[in-house]
Amino acid sequence: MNKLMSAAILGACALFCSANVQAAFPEKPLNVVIAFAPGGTSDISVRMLAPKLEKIFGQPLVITNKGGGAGVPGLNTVLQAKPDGYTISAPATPAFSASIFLKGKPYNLDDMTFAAGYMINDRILLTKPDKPYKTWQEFIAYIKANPGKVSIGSGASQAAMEVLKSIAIKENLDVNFVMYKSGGEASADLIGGHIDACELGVGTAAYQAARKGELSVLANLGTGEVPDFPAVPKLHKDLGYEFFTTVIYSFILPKGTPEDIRARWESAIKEALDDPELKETFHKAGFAPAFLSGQQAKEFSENELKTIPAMLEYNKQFKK
Amino acid sequence: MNKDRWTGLVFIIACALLWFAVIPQQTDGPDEAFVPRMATAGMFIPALIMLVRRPKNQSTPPDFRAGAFFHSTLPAMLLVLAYLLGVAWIGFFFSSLVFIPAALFIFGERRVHAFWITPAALLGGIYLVMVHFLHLELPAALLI
Amino acid sequence: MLDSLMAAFGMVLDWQNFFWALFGVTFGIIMGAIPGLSDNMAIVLLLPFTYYLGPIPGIAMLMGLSKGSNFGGSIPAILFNIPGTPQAMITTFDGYPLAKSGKSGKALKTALFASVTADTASDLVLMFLAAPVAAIALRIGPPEYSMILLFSLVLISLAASSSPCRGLIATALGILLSTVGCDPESGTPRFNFGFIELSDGINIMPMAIGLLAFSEVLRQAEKWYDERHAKECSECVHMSERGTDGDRLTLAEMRSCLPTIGRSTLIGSFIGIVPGIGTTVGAYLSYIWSRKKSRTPEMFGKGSLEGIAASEAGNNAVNGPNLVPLLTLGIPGNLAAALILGGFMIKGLIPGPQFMESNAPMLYALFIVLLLSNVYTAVIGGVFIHFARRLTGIPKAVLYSIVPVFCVIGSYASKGSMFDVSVMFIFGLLGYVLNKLKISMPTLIVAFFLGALLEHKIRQSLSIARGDWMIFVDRPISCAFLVMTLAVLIFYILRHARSGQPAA
Repeated sequence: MNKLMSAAILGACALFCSANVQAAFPEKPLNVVIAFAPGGTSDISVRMLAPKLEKIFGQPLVITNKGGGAGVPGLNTVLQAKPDGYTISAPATPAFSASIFLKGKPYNLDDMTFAAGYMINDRILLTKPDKPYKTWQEFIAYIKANPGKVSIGSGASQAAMEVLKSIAIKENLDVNFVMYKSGGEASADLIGGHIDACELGVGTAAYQAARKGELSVLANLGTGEVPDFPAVPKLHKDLGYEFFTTVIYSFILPKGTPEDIRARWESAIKEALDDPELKETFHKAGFAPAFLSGQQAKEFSENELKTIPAMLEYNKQFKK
Repeated sequence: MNKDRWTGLVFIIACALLWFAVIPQQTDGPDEAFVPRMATAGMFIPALIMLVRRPKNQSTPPDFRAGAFFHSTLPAMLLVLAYLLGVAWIGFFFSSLVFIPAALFIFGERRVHAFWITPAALLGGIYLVMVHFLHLELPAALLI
Repeated sequence: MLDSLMAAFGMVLDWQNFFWALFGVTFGIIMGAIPGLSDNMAIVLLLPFTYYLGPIPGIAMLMGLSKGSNFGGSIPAILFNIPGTPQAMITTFDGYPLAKSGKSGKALKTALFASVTADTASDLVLMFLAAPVAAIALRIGPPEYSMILLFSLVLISLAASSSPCRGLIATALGILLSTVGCDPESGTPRFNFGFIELSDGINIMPMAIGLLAFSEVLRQAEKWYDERHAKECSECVHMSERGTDGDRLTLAEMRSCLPTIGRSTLIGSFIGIVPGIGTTVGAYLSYIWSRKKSRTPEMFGKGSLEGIAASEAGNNAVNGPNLVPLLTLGIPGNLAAALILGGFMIKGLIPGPQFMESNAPMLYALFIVLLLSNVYTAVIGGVFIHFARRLTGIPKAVLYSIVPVFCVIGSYASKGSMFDVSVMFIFGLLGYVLNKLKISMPTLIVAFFLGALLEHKIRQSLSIARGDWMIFVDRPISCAFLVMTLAVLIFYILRHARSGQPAA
């Protein structure tokens, strides 16, 4: 009842205020388009964030899932929407690399407005603790000692698979790569011992098993900090490999959104991420919240868009 | 011609198209094309058997009657096509409001009250449950 | 154990749990019963609502939804030959003929009885056999998985249709359609004809809606024309020719269905252990096996109660074991489980080994709620049957005019894309043609999703084994299924050779 009353008052207020002064953004419910199916990391992370944003904005968030096509169609619908700040896409960023892998039209990052990044989704290489190798170096040595015997899976990341391939070329490894359709499927095969190692995103079932000590972590394929395993070496920074993959999840608005509205989104996301309760929820799920300003998120993605074609070019040397 | 032979013929033509035109054009290499080619072959062999073998039952003609097709199936297809275009370009509720009475007419409904009760009850219910209660966004373009 | 159980009872005894489970079951039955709206969609739509509820009522509602819609789907399948959910399509084989002869009540009650019995049995499997089931599930790697898929595919394509040639064509076509999208290994586009929307493959929901519901509308348009012109038409049996005492389901009939339900529960539960294969396959395999075992196999497809019981029990029994990998390892076994996993995670509960240990009372509370939902399904389902039978009184013109509207909503809503609506339309036309050629649509749909998995799993196995096909023979479980597949093939060829017919 209270809610209804306040809504009515707000509505009446908006009606009167808009006549003379420009009312503060937002004055009506906000549409958030998730470019992925419900139930995945993308969906869950945005929905965890949503209640906090609703409190900050004082307006309900209407969340819709527009899944499929690796996030490309979902992002495109938002980019075509009216740039008034009421329609926003999240987590959006994975669509950039997907458009390259799917041989679609690459995105021009000037055709959109970055609100802010809220989470770093790193990928890690996991293995079972009963294997003879415990560290990255031992793993590489083991592969060299057993050419053609070791299988490495990928929990459905084309980019991560390419990174691993580039390492196989550089180290001259004879190794089998197995592609999976989802992190869950790959986790099951890793835990069941059907493959020797597997790269997976944080927050997957295998990641939870690693937290409990049932799996061990060999390396971090990205550049961010993986919350529970700070000591794990990073391929690019610590081990000196050229390529890496890190996906930052961010909110993206259509091109031409006014700067004050974009800044409002940015500050709201920053405020939401400062909430200790939210941090706790993210942490429980194994996610790594991280605030990046719109500019930072854009630069990060630009960098990613440049390295992927270079990596694909380098990987042409890869032979099965 | 017997229905078995018709079926065989239709699928043999489809297989030829797939094998020589679609598969080479839409796949990247032999690895990618392997399963599609196997499936095409899997379709071709039974289709060929159906075309050449002596049918068990000579008396079943294909179940196609021109009168029924042109007088009711084709109009129904076109009506639904028009409805879909309407949904895409105009909007879901408006198009449905036009489509339901038209479909009722095609299906032989002649009682006047059915023409306004059906769309009103259905669209009202859909709006209440889907849009109002579940916040499901339905296609909207020029109108709703 | 006892402490946890007592604590669990304490947690269950809250009006919220009872209310939301009831709400889930009721809403699920309605969503399931509307062609085009499936259980997954019901969960997607109501998932956001669970965020405002506590963990147990929220999850109870989601579980209730999937149970309710599983039964709800069989209502239009029986009454109108349009399955409300894809898994109910096997129920149309016997349900619709029964309804045509005026025994819709009997058919619906059999479906309800089989659903609830098998569902309860499979929940008990989940509760008491979770650990062994999880152990088996982990033993199933890509090679084992491939051979189980191959076995199911061969069985379905040969045994399901009366003409093996047509069965093979349907299977091959289904597999071919499943290769649309991306190559599972290299990720390069394949058969996507330039549409980025196709890069995940053809979305199963609009495809099934088009093939099953929309094509039925087109068929009915034709039938109506025939009736009006009073031409000779073998299918023109009117609903008005109802029997006088056909609606009661006698105790003797219930008892006669029990062996079928038992067998189908076994098959369904096994299918449920292997993640991703799904309810439709469970229903189909149960149906085939029950026909084999039945004393009256000639009645199958003409209105056999055993046929309905097999299909419904087979698809409901998948659900319990399907949740095992979710609760023990945190790995969702199907889309509904993935959605429920999302529901858990938002609540800060992370399913997996830790969950079992640290939240035992809550887990038991969930089990109790599962069983409670089955009671609800039985009661609410009974009430619905009472009303649903009157739906046959809906004028056909009204029914077939509103089905396309639901086809549009159903295909649009799962991804919010108009592209999927056009996919639905195209498959509707294809379904119309295939119907004319007497190609079995259920076989095609099953082959479609098994085919994608099969290619994926075979290529994974070959990646692991560096292209050595012996991997399928070397591993005992996969070898066993390979031998069974060959045995089925040889059996069919021999049988056809003996009966003097061409082996195809």
